Amino acid sequence: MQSLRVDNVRKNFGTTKVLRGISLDISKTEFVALLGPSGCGKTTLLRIIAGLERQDAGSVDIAGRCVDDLGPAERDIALVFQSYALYPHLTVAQNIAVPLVMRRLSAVQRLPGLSRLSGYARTQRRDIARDVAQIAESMEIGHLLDRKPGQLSGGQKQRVAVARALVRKPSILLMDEPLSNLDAKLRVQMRQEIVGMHRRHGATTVYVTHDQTEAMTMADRIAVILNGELQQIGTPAEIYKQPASIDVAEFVGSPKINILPCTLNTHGLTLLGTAHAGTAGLAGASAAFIGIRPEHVTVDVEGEGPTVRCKIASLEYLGSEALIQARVGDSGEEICLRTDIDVFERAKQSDTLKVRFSARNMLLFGQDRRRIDWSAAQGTA
Amino acid sequence: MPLGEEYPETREGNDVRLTGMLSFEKRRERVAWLFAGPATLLLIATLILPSLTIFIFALTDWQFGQSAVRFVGLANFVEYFSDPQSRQTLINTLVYVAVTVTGSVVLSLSVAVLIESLPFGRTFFRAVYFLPVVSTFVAMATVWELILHPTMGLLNISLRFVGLAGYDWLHDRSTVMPTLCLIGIWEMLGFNMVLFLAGLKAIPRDYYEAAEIDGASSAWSRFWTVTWPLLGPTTLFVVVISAIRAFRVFESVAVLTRGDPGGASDVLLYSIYKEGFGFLRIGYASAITVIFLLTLLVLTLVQVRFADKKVHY
Repeated sequence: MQSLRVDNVRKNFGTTKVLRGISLDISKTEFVALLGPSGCGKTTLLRIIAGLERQDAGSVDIAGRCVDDLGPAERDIALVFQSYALYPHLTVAQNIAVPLVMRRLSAVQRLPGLSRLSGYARTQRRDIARDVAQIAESMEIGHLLDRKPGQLSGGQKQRVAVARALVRKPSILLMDEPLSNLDAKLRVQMRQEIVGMHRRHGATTVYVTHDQTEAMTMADRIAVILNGELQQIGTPAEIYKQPASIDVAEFVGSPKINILPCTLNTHGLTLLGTAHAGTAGLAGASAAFIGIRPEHVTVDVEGEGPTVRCKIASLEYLGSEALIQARVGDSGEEICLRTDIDVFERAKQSDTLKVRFSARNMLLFGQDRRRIDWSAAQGTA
Repeated sequence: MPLGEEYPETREGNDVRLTGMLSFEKRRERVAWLFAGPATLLLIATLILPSLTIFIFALTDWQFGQSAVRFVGLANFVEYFSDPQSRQTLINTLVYVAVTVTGSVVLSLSVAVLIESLPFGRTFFRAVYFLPVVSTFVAMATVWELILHPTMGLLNISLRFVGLAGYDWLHDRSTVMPTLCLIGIWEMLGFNMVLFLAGLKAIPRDYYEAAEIDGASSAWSRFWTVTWPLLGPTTLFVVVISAIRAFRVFESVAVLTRGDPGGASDVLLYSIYKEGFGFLRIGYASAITVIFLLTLLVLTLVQVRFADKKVHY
């Protein structure tokens, strides 16, 4: 079932085009990450979905209902801010209760002390306290309910912010770089906790991040946004293995994918100035660039794919594996290899290396930087 | 072998350095006192001694120009509190403080919030409201005279225009204090507004957006959810500053009413001025000054004690 639909949304700030027509469909209970570098427009898109910003064109539907003319409160969404935005003067329990108090009690009923006079307000207050306790229990912050945000650690604030967002059971949970204020170790831990929370509560989640590791590890699907445009949306594996364009391929994956200019046509593959005859498996395809991830550049003697002799430029030891930077021939092109420690030890002894680009894992890109679906190209051959 | 032989020499060298360091510590202390000295002397000469003198004068019957000075104990204080006229000055001052502080805080906060929400013209309104702060009151008092004059005043002419009888605002026992309070609010509004504007600017926008998402959809509910609680420290500061300023009300009384009619608008500071510089009763004036300072101190302490716990988080 569809939970969120973004249809051709555009937004300009002055003359700057921040969003150039973005369309997204997100189904119920899905966890989607909006991934992109800072300034790509992902946060603007999130704010438009939340109703904090108004789009110039296009529309947003939430749970099958057009929300373009509704304020943030009526959209049935919740947002976890990058700064958490916990009210500093309220205790944790009061913070979590705010969305419920605002919705279940009228302005008059909210007056302090009124629950002593009105039976209705008293019942409501009791229900709210029960719901707050329940969500606090599930976020494991039950023992913090009487503290003020100033007395909490970063991870605890994060949990309170998520609890405040979830307590109302919104149709969509929006998160704006929620882990960027945490230190590296805590970030890894919170990543798992948020995934676990998502599994338990099943809230449809849109998660904005510039960190590809977060997107890859947490999301069901990733929407890569570059320069105000949705480049690709797909599962983490699809994004990694079948990137739609060179830009996506270069943005996702660390170290960066190797992109090398080539000519590939019916006559064969010319790579780095050398013709590679009989490159099995590539027959029939045509491309202007090849992309090969560092882990698919091997030193195997046997296998399919072109081989290249190169000079070792630098070696980086990472413990479980190693990275080798190598320069190919006179062309000055640098390629990066991810290898195991054995190869690294051997490479230390010499200054040249013969590497093989695994044909099976080679990505082909056309002149327009879009990826060419290789099996399709094979099919037409 | 040479290595071992070298140790004693090194140790000796260390000892020399150690004593050097000790004297260095002492030297440092002396230099510190030297630096702090002028400021300490100034502090004693300009702040501590004058205050002490006032406390001593308050216990004497000294009149300016008189050679004989008698120690009278608490007689000055007894005189002050047994004289209904004097007691009235204290009551007037406290009423003035209560009304102007409440009025100027509420109004300046409203003005600040309204100005902040304007789409344009903020600078203009900020400047207009700030005008009374930069212009001296003695100069502006002429304008107030013109407005409040019983026959030619703008206020009474306007009232007559709509069929209401005016007052002799500054010379009627029943209207003189309310009028002075209004002028006081007018005077303090701009300064308080600027403080509130600064406080408003310091509230992160995230809180307003969070409140909006949490269901505070009206500006009114956002004010009570975010603005008012987060302005707590600013409000406390504004209240304390305003109270101290209101307590020192002098110019408007001295220029517009001179405490008349019949002491109905007399305030503490003005009576100090009258006793001290008019009747030259330094001892008595000092006693009122002591009352003035102590009341101010108590007021501030109470405010800070009560409010500090509530506004800081």
